[in-house]
This record gives sequence, C-alpha cells and structure tokens, in this order.
Amino acid sequence: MIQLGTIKIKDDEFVELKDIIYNSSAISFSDSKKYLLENRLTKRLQELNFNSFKDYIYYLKYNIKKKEEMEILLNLVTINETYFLRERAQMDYMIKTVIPELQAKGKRSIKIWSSASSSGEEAYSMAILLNEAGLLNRMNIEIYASDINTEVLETAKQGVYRSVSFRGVPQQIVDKYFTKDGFSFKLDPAIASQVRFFQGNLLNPLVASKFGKADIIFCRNVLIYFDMEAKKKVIETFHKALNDPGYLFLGHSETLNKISEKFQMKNFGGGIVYLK
Amino acid sequence: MSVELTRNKDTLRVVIGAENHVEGLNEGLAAVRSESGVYKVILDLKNCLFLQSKSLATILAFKKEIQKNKAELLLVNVSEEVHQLFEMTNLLPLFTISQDYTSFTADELLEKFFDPEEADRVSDFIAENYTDDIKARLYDALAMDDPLLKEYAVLTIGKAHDYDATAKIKECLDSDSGSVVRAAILVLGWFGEVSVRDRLYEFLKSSVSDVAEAAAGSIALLADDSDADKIGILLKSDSPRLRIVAAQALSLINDSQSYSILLEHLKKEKNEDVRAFTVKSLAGFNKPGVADILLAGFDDESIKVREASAGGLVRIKAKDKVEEILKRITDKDSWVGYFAVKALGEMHSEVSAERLIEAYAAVEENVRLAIIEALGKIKYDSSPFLQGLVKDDNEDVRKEVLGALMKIKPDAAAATAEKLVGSDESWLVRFKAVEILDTIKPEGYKDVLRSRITAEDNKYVREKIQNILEVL
Repeated sequence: MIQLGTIKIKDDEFVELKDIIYNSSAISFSDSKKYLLENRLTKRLQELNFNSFKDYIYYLKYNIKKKEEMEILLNLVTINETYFLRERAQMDYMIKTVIPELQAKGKRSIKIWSSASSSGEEAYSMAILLNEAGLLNRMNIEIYASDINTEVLETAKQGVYRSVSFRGVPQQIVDKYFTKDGFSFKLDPAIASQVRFFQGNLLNPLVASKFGKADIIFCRNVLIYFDMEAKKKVIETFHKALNDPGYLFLGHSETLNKISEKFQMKNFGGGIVYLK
Repeated sequence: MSVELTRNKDTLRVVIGAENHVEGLNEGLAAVRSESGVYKVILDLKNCLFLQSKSLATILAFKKEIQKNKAELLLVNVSEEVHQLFEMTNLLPLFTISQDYTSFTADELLEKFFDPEEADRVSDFIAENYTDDIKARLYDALAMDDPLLKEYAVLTIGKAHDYDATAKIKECLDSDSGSVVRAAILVLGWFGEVSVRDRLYEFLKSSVSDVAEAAAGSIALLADDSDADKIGILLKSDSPRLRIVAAQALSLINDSQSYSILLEHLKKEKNEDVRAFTVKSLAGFNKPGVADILLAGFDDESIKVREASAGGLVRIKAKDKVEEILKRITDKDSWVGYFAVKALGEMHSEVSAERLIEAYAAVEENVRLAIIEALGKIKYDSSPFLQGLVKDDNEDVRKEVLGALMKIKPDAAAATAEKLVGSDESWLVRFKAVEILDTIKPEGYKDVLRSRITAEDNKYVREKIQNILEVL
C-alpha cells in the first residue's frame, strides 16, 4: 500500500516501543531516530488497520500471535541496507595479507564469519573476491553469514538483488557473476553455494556455536546501533568465537576504544583490523 | 580551521571543525561571550564524529553562558557516537538536539543520499532549499550510473517541482533499476504528466511491488473518467497481488465509478487478502452505503475481513450505527471488539459510555484498554469508574486511566498522577504520570518531580524529569 504520510509516534509510545525493541535485540534508538521508526513501521500499522503506535504496542502485547509479530517488528527495524564490495579495501587486505598470514602459520582451512550479513552482499562479495583471487578452489575456505533479521536472510538465500546493491561494482563483476532478469540480478549458484546463512542474534553468547570458531570476523556498521553495554557483550562474544590468531574487521566509523582491550589494533593503510 | 562562525540576525551558528574540537569550541564560546544580541546559538557538530570528554565540559560551558543571556542553545548534526557519549554521561536531557543541513555543501548533501537513514530528510531539505547550483548537481546525478543517487535525484527534483526536468525524468522510466523507475513514476504523477499515463499501466503488472504501487498512485493522480473502467479490468486478473494494486488505484481515484466497481468486486472476490483490501479501499469513499458494507463485513468468515471492516468503521464515524457497533464489542475476535470500541470513541457518542462500562468486565484485556481510551473521548463523567481502576493489576490499564482522566477531568488526572509518579511500580505508568504533570502543570508539580528524581531508577522516566527540570 502506498504510504500516504507516516503515522506519528508520541513520546510515551516511542519510549515503550524502543524499550521493547531494545529488550529483544539490544538495538537502541535515540530520540533523533523517532522518524526512522515512523517511516519503517507505518506501512505495517496500516496493514493491521491501526492508526496509532499505541494500537500497535497493544497488538505486540495482547495479540495471540505476538511472537510472530515481534519477529515482523524486528525484521522491519533491523534492515541494514548494504551493497556488494562495500569498503572493499578490508576484503582485499583479508585476501592479500590475512589469509596468506594464516596459511604461513599452518592453517589448512579458514573460517570467515560475516556476523551481520543483512541480505548477503558482504558474504557473497567475499566469495566473489576469493574466487577472483583463485583461492576458493585452492584452499578450504568456509564462509558463514548470520543476521537477526529472518526476512533479509531469505533474500540472501535466494541470491536475487536489485541494482542498488551494485553501487560502484565493476561491470565485469556484475556480468560474470549475475544474470539479469527484468529489474533483478540473480547470483551465480556456484558462488551462492559457498556461503552458509543462519539466523543469529549477536547478543546471544552462543551465536557462533553453529560453526565453532572463526579465523576472521566481519561486523561492519552494526555496533553503532548498540549501546555501550551491548557493544561490550558482542565484542566479548567475538573474542571467544575467534581462533588465535584471529582477525576482526569493523566499519570505518567504528572503534573498540572504551569497549575492549583484548584486541590489538592494526592500521593497514586502507583501514583498521583488530587482532586477537 | 577549527571553527566557523555565521551570524544571521539574532542567531549565531558555530560550526566546529574536524580537528581540534576543544580549540574550536573555546573559540565559539568566546564568540558567544563577545557578541551581543544573540538569542539563539546553533552549535553544529557535523564534523565531529567523536568528541573527547574535555569537549563536553566546553559544551556545558556553552549551555551555562547561553542560559545566562536567556538565549537558546541547539545542537545540530550530532553523530551517533557523540549522541551515545551524551547519553553515557547523562547529559542528554540538558540539550535540544536536531538535524540541520544548512551548513552542508551541495556535495556533502548529495553524499547523504547514500545514508539510508538520512536520505529522505536530506532530499526534503534540498527540495525546500533548491538553488541553481544544487539543480545542476542533481541533473548531473541523473546522468550517472549510480541507481541510488539517481533515485534520490529524481525524487528531490520532484519534491522541488522542477518541471524543467520533465523530459529527463521521463527517460528514467527506461532505467534498469526498479527504484529509479519507481521514483520516476511517482514524480511524473506529482507533475500531472498525463502524456505518460497509458505507459504507467504496464508498470501495474511489474513483479516489483514498489513499482506497481507507485504506478497505481500515479495513474490515480493522472486519471480521467475512463481510467476506473480500465483499472476495473485488472480486478479480473488471476494474480491476487495485481487485484490488490487495482483496488488500491480505484480507491485513490475515488470517483463514483470506482466505488461501483469495487462494490461489485467485493461480492465476487474469494481471496480473503484481496477481500480485506477491497473492504479497506471502500472505507476510503465518502458514500452513504459504506457504513452498511463495513457492518456486513463483521459477518465475514475471514478474520482479516472482519478486522478490516471494524478498522474501517474507526475512520468513517458512522454516528447512526452506534447500536449495531455496540453489539460487536464482545465479538469472539477481540481485535474486532477493539476496533468497534475505538469506532465508538471516535463518534463521541454519550449513548455508548454506559454500555461500554457495562461491557468492561466481560471483554478481553485489549478491548478493556480501548474502552478506557474511548471513555476519555466521550462527554460523560466516567471518572468514578476510571478511578476505580487506578489500582488494577495491569500497568496498561493504569496508564490508560491517566490518559482518559486527563481528557475528561484534568484536576483528577493531576492528583492521580502526583500519587502514581512516586508510588507506581511500573515505569510506563510513572512516565505517563510525569507527562501529565508536565502538561497540566499543577501548582508545585516541579517540587513533586524534584523529589522523585533521586529515587527514580528507570532511565526514561529520569531523563523525562531531567528534561522538564533542566537539571542533571
């Protein structure tokens, strides 16, 4: 349905809804993000015939299917838009330096975890670049990808994207790995099969239990949505989930300053990597 | 450069540079002290991705200095990291923070199109402050390959009503990107560009739902007398999604022919989603028969249709149907009951107040909440009943009672709020109580809040009180 203006959220509704979201996902919405909740949730409210956020909060609390609605809510508020080869320098560094370093230390197989994969662009970008570097066939590399949002994970598994996911991606990469169909681009199944997706909440200390331990973790542009307490928990989970040595890549504007002292920071020119 | 100062009448804008924040803030503070006649200071932190705690001390000094002059301080363009720093140091309640793109260059503004959280607001800002320079940049963006940049360029040009760009926007209908095509469809609808109307019909069938919905909206905007029939044909499609899009378009066209077509379709439609959407679409028509259609919808076998019917009644205020609606408040689906009560509340019908109170004990929790809310909207002294619920076990009931009392008996609401702000175990109720005290402002309410602040252990309530009292 076309959104004819957004439904405005009142102060008391906002604090209650942000508390509900925080308790389920640790994502914190500052007051300046009120409009974001309005934008992302208005359509859902209209689908349910509601005209206020209070109605929706009551629906989350008193509806017989409140658990399902909670999942829909989290799916709507945790959409993290991304694109292929985003902040590519980190991936290039992983391929040209980190993986050879791990090999030199006797590693025969390498596990990479895209811990907030959204619709899969990050994890598939790694698979594409590893293939371009000829590493996918030469080494045993496993790529795992997780997200809290079940809807974006479905998109990821389908491997079908719109053109906005290809911001700045060289045309030869698009042509080589995707098949165009109308407005959609379908990822080569051979690349898609390299990534294993699973649903996971980073606040769950056991989130990494699906694959054991990883050698490299990517968690980019996600910490920014957590408060300090949640950031510390997530980083502690990463520390435990990493082998020794292990490598952690964060988003360009993110830092471990005041969050954890267990990692050693290394500036590699194109960005920062944190070493366990 | 560590600071940039701009004076516009009684407003001083202080833009802190990317480096030497402390130095920049100190220079800004010196300017605030030396300039006379400044009643508003805008402290722009767009270049400060991080701040040291030393900088916070200077920002506090800003606040004090400005308060001395009874002027206003506004912090703008505060990054998420800096926002969190304010939160961690409990300084948040002391400042008014907003987004303001005035100090951004055209390039910086266009760069914001890539930030999904800001893109829409930046687009609105550009459209309201449309200059030849920005127009040229947006035209350049239309010629680029980046679909995101192009999508927002199209939307922004549309919001700015730049009709010079019509031909360029029309070309965007051929784009490879669904988002760009959707934006072009929307803008051509806003522009009233009837030359593209027939072409928009092909987009109604698009597999990309955003594109199809945009086409439905724009066809409605461009419609003439023949379009309702053309769209009506789509209601015969095998695709439920296309039938929903067609119903949506007819609802937006909103003429008599569209109404008749939808009404006929409702009788035949078997798919419950499409039927529910058709009911919802019919509720958007200002026609005498709509209330009866919605009431009939209460007897539909599908919960979705019944809820859509009840929800529609909230919108249309069918004052002559109070009795029929009252019968539905005890519906076996509590959400139908919920909407029925809300519809009665919207009608402000005195007849229903006593009946709602009578029904209260027999209905489910969510319907009870709707009843309390509705009583707050009806001119009837339900305060004795409401005050009897102040000690209810359900925190939402207590919160709703405060809200309803506030509307019908503000004095009673203030007295109840004063009690609950210090004694209720639920922070939701205490938050509502603080809001009510701040709205009614009864004598001595600030003392009540002041005495609560140290004992308050919930951060939302504490911040709310701090905000009202302007204290840490």
